This record gives sequence, structure tokens and C-alpha cells, in this order.
Amino acid sequence: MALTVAIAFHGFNQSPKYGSVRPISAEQRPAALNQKDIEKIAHLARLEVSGQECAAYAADLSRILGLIEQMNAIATDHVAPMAQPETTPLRFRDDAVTQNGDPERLLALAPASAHGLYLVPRVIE
Amino acid sequence: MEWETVIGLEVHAQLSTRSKIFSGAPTAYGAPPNQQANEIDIALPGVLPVLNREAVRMAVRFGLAVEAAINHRSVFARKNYFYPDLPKGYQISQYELPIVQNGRLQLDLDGEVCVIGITRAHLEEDAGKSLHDAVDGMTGVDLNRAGTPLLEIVSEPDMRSAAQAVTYLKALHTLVRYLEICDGNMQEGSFRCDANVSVRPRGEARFGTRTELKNINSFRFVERAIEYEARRQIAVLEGGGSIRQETRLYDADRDETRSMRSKEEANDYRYFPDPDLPPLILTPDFVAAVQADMPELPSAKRERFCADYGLSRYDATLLTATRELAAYYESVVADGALDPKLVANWVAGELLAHLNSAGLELAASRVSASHLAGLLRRIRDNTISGKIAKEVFEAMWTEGADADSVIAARGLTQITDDSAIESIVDEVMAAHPKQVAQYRSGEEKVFGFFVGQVMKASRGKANPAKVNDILKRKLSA
Repeated sequence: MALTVAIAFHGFNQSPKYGSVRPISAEQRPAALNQKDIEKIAHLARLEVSGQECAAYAADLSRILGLIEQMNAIATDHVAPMAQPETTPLRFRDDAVTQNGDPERLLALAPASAHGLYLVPRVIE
Repeated sequence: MEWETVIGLEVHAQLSTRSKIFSGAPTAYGAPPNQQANEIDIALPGVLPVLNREAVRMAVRFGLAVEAAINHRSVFARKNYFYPDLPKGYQISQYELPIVQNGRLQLDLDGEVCVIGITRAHLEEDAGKSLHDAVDGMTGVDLNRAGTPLLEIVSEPDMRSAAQAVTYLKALHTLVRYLEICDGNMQEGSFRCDANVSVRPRGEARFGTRTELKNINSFRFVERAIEYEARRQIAVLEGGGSIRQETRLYDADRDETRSMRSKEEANDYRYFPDPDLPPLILTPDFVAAVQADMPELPSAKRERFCADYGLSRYDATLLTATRELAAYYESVVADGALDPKLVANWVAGELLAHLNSAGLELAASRVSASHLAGLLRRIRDNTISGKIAKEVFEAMWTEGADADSVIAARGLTQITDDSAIESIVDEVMAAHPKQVAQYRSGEEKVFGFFVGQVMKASRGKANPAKVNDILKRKLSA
């Protein structure tokens, strides 16, 4: 389910000049998300979502998926997959130690720390 | 039923860069917690990653060494999961388009050559470290390791036994050190291994359901973990059960693998291209420059040692285990213009034994290559016997002195003068008339007794070949 985000990303930045938007038929339309889908997505994102919010999210996310389906319908067979809209190439840095921040200052930003460690509620393996 | 084990390995090699893969913080091991984690490593909002060229160069170097395809265009992706030691909530990795694909590594297992496919090798950043016992009731997070460059090397499921998997792992370990892209330190986690293991009835074409074994940090444990897991899977299947695809932790203390239940629903990593990093484009010039700078690889060096020095495969493998050892060996041979086999015996024998028992790396050896060459020259010119040479080596090791000063200081120069040896032989024969009579009545096995007595009387310094000759002559007289 959440993989659609990645699919959307791949297809998102293609200019309309490469294809035309076709209206999608009822059978192409994705099934609307139900409460269980929302709960699973929320769990993966470690978000707490109440029952009422679930319904609202289900409606909103279903609409977003509808938009994505609409984009998926664009013919892009002749377009090379794109990872990034940015056309400037990736730049390198030299392998040199240039910045080690200010460890004490950074540590002080955390809600809790001790012995130089950031502290979080206990994680049980 | 006869079962076949199928193994694929995933190795994380920490690249030996000075700074992190996407930030200018240092990567040195062992600093106090969080002293090497800057704004980028702890994922403060608004920071941006900038790729370390050296990490890319090292990945390409590896790819060329395993005859892989170097992708001129590769893409960094976000691998999303939640854990406190991953402050961004995602790991920057490579997914659909890794930098290295379709390589191979040739193994020599007990004289049998086999080729293990390398599916891919990709660049990624390491996570931090969680400490569950440091502070009561809390988990402590050390982000020093966060952002350290890793090369994840994924093999094909080409291995069929734990021993073969270990051979592959050792060959890979040797290779990354030859390439000087990873220090290979398994205790410090610079070279880590996960194993995918499944079993199937022999002759079956399809793979069985596999499990992934984590937490294996030595060659010995890799072998034991795979053997345990294969036995476990066979027992489950023969008992009518089925294997569940899961991640299991190897517990070295109990020599068993255990299911990691917490991971069950965490497998949806939702990879997508990292919008902070444009695709990585490698120019032909970049790859050509890496190619031009390749060192001699372990397999080529081994072949050359066999061909040029007439060494056995066993000795050649041993002496080419590291670049440093191979260089030491070659330097001794060249320095003294010595017999390569004699040098091999000394380097693989005395030298390695002393290094091992002292727990020293070759670089810290108390006997340098030129000192060893000096010692072996004295064997060749008959100044000392091979037996005395071991004593001299011992003193060189303890005192850090060269062979000639040890030999001079201890008066160990070999006795090669015939008349000196003859007089010792005469004394020994006079002292043991019974044995002389025995020998002369045909009991030739007492010859060894005389050799021993003469060597003892000369305190080991008599030239053994001459002792043999003179004894034979005098006893038969």
C-alpha cells in the first residue's frame, strides 16, 4: 500500500507534453482505503490515529490515490524513468574532516541525555 | 532424504574513508559517544547530504576487482524504518540502481575452483548504536557511527556448504584489504556478515524458503550459524513442518539461532529515490582513473607466487593472505637473493608463529625483512645450521638485533673445520665403546645416537652434513 508513494514519485514529474490525460474508468479506479489500511499505514509511520481521524484520512488518502491513478494512466512508455527532477548532477566532496559540529551543543538540544548519550524511552529488542 | 543447503551472503564492508559518506565528520573508531556526529549525522532539520568522492572511488575499485558492471548512473534511495539510532527515520542506500552489479569471485576450496556470483554492491550509510544497559530504564543512543560509509556486497545463492560460505567470506575479506577499501576488522564491526540460508531435497530445482541470519561477527561463527540453521530447517521439514521466512539472530554462546519476532511487520521499507541527492553519474574518466590505480589482486599474486617462486598453492595462499605479508616475503627473497622455498618456510613458519603468539601485526614485527634476509644468508653460507638459526631468530626477536651480531655475541658460528669435528667424533666414540661395537656388528640404528652426541658436544654448532660424513667414515673404519 505505502509503495504507491514511491510509484507516485517516479511518475510525478513528467511533463504533460509526453502524454495526454485519459479519464479513468470505474474498474481502473483504485478501491477506496478502509479503516484497516489506514491503521496499517499509521503503524508503519508510527503515528497514532484515532477512529474518527481514520475515516477522514481514508477519504483524503483515497482521493490522493485517485489522482495518482489518473497520472498512472498517462502513456509514458517512451519516457525514460526519472529518479529526480533536478538536472544538475550530483556533486562530490573531498574526503576530509571539515566539520565535527559542536557535540556538547548538539547534545544539549535533546530532551534527555546522559553520559554523552541521547536518551529515548527504552526500546525492547 | 538427502538435503542440500543453499547459502547467499550479504556483507557490509565499512569503507576506510576519513570522513563520513555524506558529512565532514570523522569516522575514527572508539571516540567517546556522540563526539563524531555533526548536524547532518544527527539529522537536524534543513541539513543536506553531500557525497564523499572517496567512498565512490572505493566502490568502483571493488566493482572492477570482481569483474562487475559499473553503473555509470546509480540512484540513492531512502530506506524507511523507525529505530532510535536512525535519526532521519530513513537510511540513505541504493535500491533499484546500485553502483556495482553482476560481479564474480573465484574461490579455491581444497584445490577445487568455483565461482560465486556477486549480484550487486551498493553504497549506503551506517546507523548509530543503541545501548540498552547504559542508563536505567532508558535506551542510550550513540550516533558516532551514523553516516559511516558502507559497501553492502550481496552474493548470489551460489554456495552449498558452510565451509564454502566461509571460504567466500575469507576471499572477500582478503580482497577488500588488498584494495585498501576496508580494514576488515570484524571485532570493531568493519566487516559484518548476514547469511541467507535455505535447504532443499538434493536434485530439487526450486529454492526452499530462506531465513536470514544476523549478528555473525567471526568466520567461525558464520560456519557454525549456517550449520546450525541448516540442521534446524531439515529437522522442521522432516517433522512435517514448514519454514517461515524470517530474520534470526545467531547466539554464539548457546550456538543456536533464534527468531527476531519484533521484525515481523517492519519489512515494508517504502524505498524511494532520495530527493536530496541527484543520480550519481560516473564519467568514463573517473572509472578509467580507478582502473589505472588497481593493485595486483590476491588471485593474481597467488598465481605469480606459484609460477615465479615455485611455491605450493598452500604456501602461496598463506603468503598472499595480506598485501603486507606478500611484500615482506618478496622483500626477503630479493634482499638476500635467497631460495624462495627456504624463505617461504621461514616466513610461514617462525615469523608467523612468533607474530601469532605475541599477538602482533606484521607491521610491528620485531624481525624486519632485511634482518630475516641476513639470517637466511648465514644458513646459506654455512655460518650456522638451520637448527642454530632458530636459536638466532629467537634472540633476534627478543633483542631486535641483526643475525650477525647475535651470532658473534653468542659464538654460534658453525664448526665446519674437519679436524675440529673429527676430534669431537673421536671423543664421543671413545666415551661410548659399547655403542661403537653395536654399530660395527650391524646395528646401524645407533648411528642417530652418535649424531645426537656429537651435536650435543658441539653445542649444536657442528655442520650436520660434515658430522654425518665423518661419523660414517670413522665408525666403519
